[in-house]
Amino acid sequence: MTIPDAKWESRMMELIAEVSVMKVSQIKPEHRLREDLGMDSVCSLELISMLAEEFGLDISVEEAAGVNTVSGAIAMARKHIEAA
Amino acid sequence: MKVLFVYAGFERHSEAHPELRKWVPMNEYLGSPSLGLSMMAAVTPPQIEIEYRDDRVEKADRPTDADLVAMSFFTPAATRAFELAKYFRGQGKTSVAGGIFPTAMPDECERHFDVVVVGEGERLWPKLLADFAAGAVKSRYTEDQAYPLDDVPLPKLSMYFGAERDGFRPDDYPVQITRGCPLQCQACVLPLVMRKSIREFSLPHALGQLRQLKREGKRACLTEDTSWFPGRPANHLKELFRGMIEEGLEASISYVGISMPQLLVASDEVLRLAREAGVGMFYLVGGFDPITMRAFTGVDAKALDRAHKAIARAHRVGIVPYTSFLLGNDEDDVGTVDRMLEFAAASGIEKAEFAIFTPYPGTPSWDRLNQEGRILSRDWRHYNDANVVFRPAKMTPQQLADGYLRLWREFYSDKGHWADKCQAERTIQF
Repeated sequence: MTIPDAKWESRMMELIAEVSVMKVSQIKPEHRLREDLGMDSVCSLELISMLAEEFGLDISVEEAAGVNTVSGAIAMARKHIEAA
Repeated sequence: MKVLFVYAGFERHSEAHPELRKWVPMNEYLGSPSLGLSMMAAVTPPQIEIEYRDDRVEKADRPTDADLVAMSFFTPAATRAFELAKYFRGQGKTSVAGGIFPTAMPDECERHFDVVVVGEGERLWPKLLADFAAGAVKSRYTEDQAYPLDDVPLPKLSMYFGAERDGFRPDDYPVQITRGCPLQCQACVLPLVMRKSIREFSLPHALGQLRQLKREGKRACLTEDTSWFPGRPANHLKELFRGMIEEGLEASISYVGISMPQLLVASDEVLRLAREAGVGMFYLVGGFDPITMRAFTGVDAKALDRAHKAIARAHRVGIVPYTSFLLGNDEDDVGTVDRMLEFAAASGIEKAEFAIFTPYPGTPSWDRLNQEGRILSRDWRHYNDANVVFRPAKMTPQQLADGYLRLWREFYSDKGHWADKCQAERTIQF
């Protein structure tokens, strides 16, 4: 498993930007994934695939489907990083 | 007691638009009948006699000595299923409807059938048969929980193999690896029909399905994008590919379904295993995911770039990206046709099919377009991706229909070389 370094949050913002309609500089924690960033549920899947590849996180599709905001996505990733 | 299983016919693209046969130098794909009927046959008690008719090949409305006539059908076949139900009820037979359309529209089906089965049928069907034998069959059977896939037998495909003859040799048979999906994609009926959590068939079951086909010299198709989902499903898929390699089942796959987002984020390992397991073609379904819904709108360069990367990745791993383009999403306009053609040429796509967006009952799109008063037709025969049944947002219905035909005509205008290829290589759905 790849252990994420201290900059994982900013890397995660880059990953969110990659699958959303926004640039990384425009993304804020309070943004809603669907309404503000144009991400639908398939984008969430892309994101968790990227988190699996980059950080070795094993996040279930069901869990990701329940996340609605950028801060929620970060909290989900943090929970898995701390548990790893 | 005897049961007649019937697979109702439906209109293909080339039947709705015969000019396609002139323009497209490909072989017309013949899919297998519904996996659902073969599952119901598998859970039918052995003392009950079974007969099978494929209405696509030979009209099924002819006399039978069966007591019960059961159909499993999706939306394009619903109108024909209603006609068949009328015929068999007229013959004094009890008619049963199940599958995608009856689960999405049970009230409408109840007007045409004696019995409607809503949801997965493995638990309900034996109960229905027992009730029928006791003279106490109900008008509706509803599954209210996910059926445990550990208990599911292999589909009784021998019922279909036995019916094969000249003019009816399906190009492949579906292998089911998972059921259900937690996502809420606009155009997908899966969460309604198979519930909102992903359940995997065990590895022995999935390999058993493949072995069953290999023994008979048949090919399999793996159609579910959900199998590629990260985490448990993708790990399961990897195990399946490894199992196929170990058992020498490589040659038995005709294609594997996947979407561009999954193709982009799939691990190198799972793609390598897919190739080693004999997967030579992806059926790349478009128009439902955020990449292909935006890539051809002309305003999202990032989505277009990602679509190019997805096709390039398929080429790089050596798996042909047979690409399905869907025209008619709300952001599509008349320029989308040119952008799709340009993309197909620039990305080197050699094999493609084109479809008109269709709001199938049971999907979020159907609910939304109904609320917006944009459904133009409820003639289910026309719900086959080859007719316009709703009012598009940025085109007229005629522009959408014309654009669909233009895509077929122009994409294949320089693909005459396909005519020299063998039948399996040049088979597509149209």
